[in-house]
Amino acid sequence: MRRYETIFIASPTLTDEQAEELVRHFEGIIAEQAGELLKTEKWGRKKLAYEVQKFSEGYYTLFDMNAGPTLIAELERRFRNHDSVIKYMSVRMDEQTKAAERQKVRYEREGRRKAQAGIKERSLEEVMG
Amino acid sequence: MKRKADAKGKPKKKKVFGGRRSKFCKFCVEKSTFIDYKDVKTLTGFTPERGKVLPRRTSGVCALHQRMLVEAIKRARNIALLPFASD
Repeated sequence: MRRYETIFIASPTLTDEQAEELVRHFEGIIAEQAGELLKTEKWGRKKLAYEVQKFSEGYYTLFDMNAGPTLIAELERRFRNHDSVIKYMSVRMDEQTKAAERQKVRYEREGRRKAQAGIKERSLEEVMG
Repeated sequence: MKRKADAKGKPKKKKVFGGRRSKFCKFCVEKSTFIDYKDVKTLTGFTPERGKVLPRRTSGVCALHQRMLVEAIKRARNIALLPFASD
């Protein structure tokens, strides 16, 4: 199982209830395919940065989940075939989390080194002027 | 070189790093380990009007964080949070 974030944008021609139902529909698919949904974020109706299929607005929904590759493939296939979904994107998150931890260790080491050498850490206010 | 003084005799403080103020990497100060593509507020600060990525020589962001930043911006563009190009 890998950690994924999947965002999809639903068409603005839907009503709020229809958009909610669409989210429930996809949540059902995730559950069906043995995915572990950690969080669903509904951002509501948002303006798009550029036109997508001639629409300039859309309902954003984010799924944060643990899933296998077959679920992602299936979910994306459904997104493609669904007329009300105008855009979607899946991002794998677990590798980034690993990299973030490595970076944290690096920061700690640097902090210790500086403390030993007697270099004071510049505070945020000082740097910002 | 002398700094130009304004009416009050104080040296003018420039907002952009045009003056003598040294650049710094915002993300290093915050010790960020990861730049989120969903954080549009931060990302727009590094994509001026045209929607292009602000170069490192202007923003002062370190190489590591610039790489993370570019990835985040590209992801945000993909899902229509940021424009590819705008006028």
